[in-house]
Amino acid sequence: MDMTYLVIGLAVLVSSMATGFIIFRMQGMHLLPHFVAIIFALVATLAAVFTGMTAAAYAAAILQIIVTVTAYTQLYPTIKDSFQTAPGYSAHLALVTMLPVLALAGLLL
Amino acid sequence: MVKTVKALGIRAPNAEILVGNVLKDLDTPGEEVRFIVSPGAETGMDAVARKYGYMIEVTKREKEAEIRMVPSGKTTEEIDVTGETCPGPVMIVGDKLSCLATGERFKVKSKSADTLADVSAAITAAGSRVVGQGTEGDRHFITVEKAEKKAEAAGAAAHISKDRVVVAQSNGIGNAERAYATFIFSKVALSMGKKVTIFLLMDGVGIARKGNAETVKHPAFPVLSQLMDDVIRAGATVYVCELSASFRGIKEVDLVAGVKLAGAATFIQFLSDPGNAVVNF
Repeated sequence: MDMTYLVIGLAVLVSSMATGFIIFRMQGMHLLPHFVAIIFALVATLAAVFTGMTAAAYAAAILQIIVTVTAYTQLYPTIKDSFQTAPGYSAHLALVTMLPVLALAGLLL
Repeated sequence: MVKTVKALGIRAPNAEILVGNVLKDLDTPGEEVRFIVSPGAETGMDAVARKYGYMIEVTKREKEAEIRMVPSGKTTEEIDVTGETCPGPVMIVGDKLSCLATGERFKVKSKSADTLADVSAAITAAGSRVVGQGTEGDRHFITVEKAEKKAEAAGAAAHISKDRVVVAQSNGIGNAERAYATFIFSKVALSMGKKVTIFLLMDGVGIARKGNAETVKHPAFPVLSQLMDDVIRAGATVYVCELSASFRGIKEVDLVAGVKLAGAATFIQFLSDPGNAVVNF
């Protein structure tokens, strides 16, 4: 298990808290499941980085993937029809889309 | 109920005799009565009021005076809107006004003078009147009287009364605040007696796609679909721009009930009409 990917994943999660908060204000409570997933993933990733436990790393990887999935499920109704405001969500989507790649890389490489 | 008797042209002391006879022969003894009389005819009415157990309130206007005979001991109905946030107070008072007959009064109380200023503006715009104001303890109050909205004088071409509001919404659910503002402003306009038309165009058409408005919820407000429903049921017309809908692959069957597809000409017609106040969200 390579810790480098976990640390990069942690950095991405911290950054996505900032971009997520900004779009949370535009979207409201609709993004709550995604926001909760980010917080759980952040806690699990921190735990994995500081303890180095394999179980924590697996939990972090699963939660990071859930973060990506919830971002798309919660934002799909908006980005489907909103051509003008969709760019406002692009930074957050770009960040969270990195997470599954980093999560799998951390476990498999 | 408040009985209204118009007695313009009758001078004092004949007006006193008329008022006395009306109060004496009321179908419902103790009923509140307002008399519209010529200026000056209100002289001596205090004695008539006392004789029949009434309190008197006189309001003088340019070409008439209003004498309100209120049974002694009768209290004015009160509504306290303290703690309500916009558009709550305006909606509550609008609902109350719609249930009253012309001439009836009630008191609106609030801890916030700003709230009452907003309510006063809505009342005046709807054609009714604020006939009194003041403070009682920690509450500010206004006394509201239901009145019929006067028709604009013929020939007053320079003054256009904007009784119709067109709300153009082009941001859709991608911006929850603007989406909420569209329907909250519409709701307030409807409660002020305005005719409301909402035009959804560009990203705004997404609001009308089935299931989309259900996904927008702010903790301080009801879910967006509920607000949209309320506004449609209250009489607002909601148009969806046909071009923008086609652009997004939205067909008529994908739209929520109560909205209509409309072309650019309809929108331009609304924009061109000087009687329409246009708001953009």
